[in-house]
Amino acid sequence: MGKEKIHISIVVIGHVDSGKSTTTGHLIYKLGGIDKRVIERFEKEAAEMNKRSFKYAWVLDKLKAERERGITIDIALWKFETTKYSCTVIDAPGHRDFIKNMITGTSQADCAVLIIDSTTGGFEAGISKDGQTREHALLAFTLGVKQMICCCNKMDATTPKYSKARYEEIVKEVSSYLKKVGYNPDKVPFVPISGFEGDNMIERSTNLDWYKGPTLLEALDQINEPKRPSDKPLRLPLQDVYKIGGIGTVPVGRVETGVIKPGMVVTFGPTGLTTEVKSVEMHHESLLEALPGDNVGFNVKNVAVKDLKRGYVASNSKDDPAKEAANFTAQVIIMNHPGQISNGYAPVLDCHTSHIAVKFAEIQTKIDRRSGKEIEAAPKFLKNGDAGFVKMIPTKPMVVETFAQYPPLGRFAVRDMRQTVAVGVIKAVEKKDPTG
Amino acid sequence: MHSNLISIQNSLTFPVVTQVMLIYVNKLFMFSGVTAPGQGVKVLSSVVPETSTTDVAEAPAADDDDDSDVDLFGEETEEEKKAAEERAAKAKASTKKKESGKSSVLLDVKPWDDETDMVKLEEAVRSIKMEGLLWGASKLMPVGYGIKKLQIMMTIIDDLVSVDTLIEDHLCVEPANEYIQSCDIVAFNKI
Repeated sequence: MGKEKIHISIVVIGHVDSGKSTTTGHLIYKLGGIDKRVIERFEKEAAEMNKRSFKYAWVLDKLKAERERGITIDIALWKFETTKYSCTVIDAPGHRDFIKNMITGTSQADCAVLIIDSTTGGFEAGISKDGQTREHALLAFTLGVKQMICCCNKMDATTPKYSKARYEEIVKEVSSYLKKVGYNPDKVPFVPISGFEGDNMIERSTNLDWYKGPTLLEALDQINEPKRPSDKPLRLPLQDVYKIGGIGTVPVGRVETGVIKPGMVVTFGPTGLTTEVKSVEMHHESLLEALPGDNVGFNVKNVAVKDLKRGYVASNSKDDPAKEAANFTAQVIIMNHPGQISNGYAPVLDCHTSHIAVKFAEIQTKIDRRSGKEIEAAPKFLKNGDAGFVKMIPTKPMVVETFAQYPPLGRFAVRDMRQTVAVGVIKAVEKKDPTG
Repeated sequence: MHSNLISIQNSLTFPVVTQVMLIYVNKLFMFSGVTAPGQGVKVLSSVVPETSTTDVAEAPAADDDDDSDVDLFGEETEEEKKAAEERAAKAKASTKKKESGKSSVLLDVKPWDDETDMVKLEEAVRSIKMEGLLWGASKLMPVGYGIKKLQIMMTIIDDLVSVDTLIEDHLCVEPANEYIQSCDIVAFNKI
């Protein structure tokens, strides 16, 4: 047992009025995500203003105001600790650009926490009408966030208060909802909580003594330890390439799978350029080995800066080296496209760090929204809300992988008209054999 | 930051509710007595189920149970319409504050090399002004081999500022690209 806790990432989704920010704030506040001095300062101010009774809500408001001013950097990286884990929380924003970030960014979560407003009318007006919550839940599922915890929030405000009957009603309805998204509700803990009052968040609440399941904190501790893909072959998509005087060429990027270490012979896809890694550095410190999640720079021999660029992928030349994709087949969900998508459509794909136009060469099938079966072979077009299999051909050399093998290189956002119009998961890749 | 990769070895078939999820926004989830045969969702999966309490990606296949008599995607009934209207009216009447619709974004701004003037780089970033964009705190972070990157906070109003546009059309083009090689989003949160 090391001193360092295992790191996991959680995405919190829910309707704007579900109390998700209050709940998230509560966890961070109680579990050590906020600088102690900041809390002390706020608490002192609150006491001076005789705000003792509203202390918690008041502190949250203050923190929110502070975040709006953007004056502390650490606050952007929301963190708290459970018994077992060190957690980073993403409070899913309503911003349209967040979806692309969910796919290409560091935001990939290990677990989704869905917050539901359990109050009379609140539930019906909340999740049921909120397309965004559904979209986020669907995206989380599609992008491989396998685990979910559901919080039935605002139990202090149900009629009657802390109503078991209401809880059971919500569990039944949300279960059905989650099933439609793709999750197995039998494996989702439904925790009745009050993010505002603190019931069942950290400590078991006597108000909810009929509930025998885990508290939110316990449910978070029960999350399966994520498998870190360090045993897979190396994939390191390049973000930047530097030329450093006296050292040479230094590509920089995040290790997505596998490890990179000095002495390793790496191959850069899609070009196939192969060279030896002289050294690896992170935060100006030399590393003997970099693991998935590490943002590193590495020094390579006899390679000019112009031979490498953002979007290229470093891989181990002896272990499934990255190659150019001649074409690939993906399951695509159309999300925000105002028109019809037909064969020949060539929008820009954001996949890992690459940003390249890709042609929808052949829409192979359209999938029925109810049965999951093919409803139409070779449809003329796909429109908003449709899902289908599409054979795609990059317009420039590019590295992609199947989602099953290398998840971060196997999911993409389709960008057009300045927004994400579709998302996709790659099922098969036909690779080109290196010509050189 | 961790990448938090999840290794999914199974082949997921998309949940087929997609269309509905995205289009029948107002209809989904009205359970009040709409009836029609629904076939439920089939998600094919080749995963060997792992025993766990929260690993829920292997969705149930064909075993539809109690929800098979609920058509989530059917037409809105009169009752539902009425209920929806009532809710809308209630929501309007509510004096509750609207959501701020703001996000907090932490951005990595990367220079061309170890000799890039990071002061000028930061000036170039902060000189970009648009409605709904507020630059916040920043710091220089070591990358390796003497290279530093600028990490900077910004607060944006969701409806006014696109982060992608900011990066693609302002930060990575002239004149800012004299100093900036690329930008990456480190954190993106609701405020």
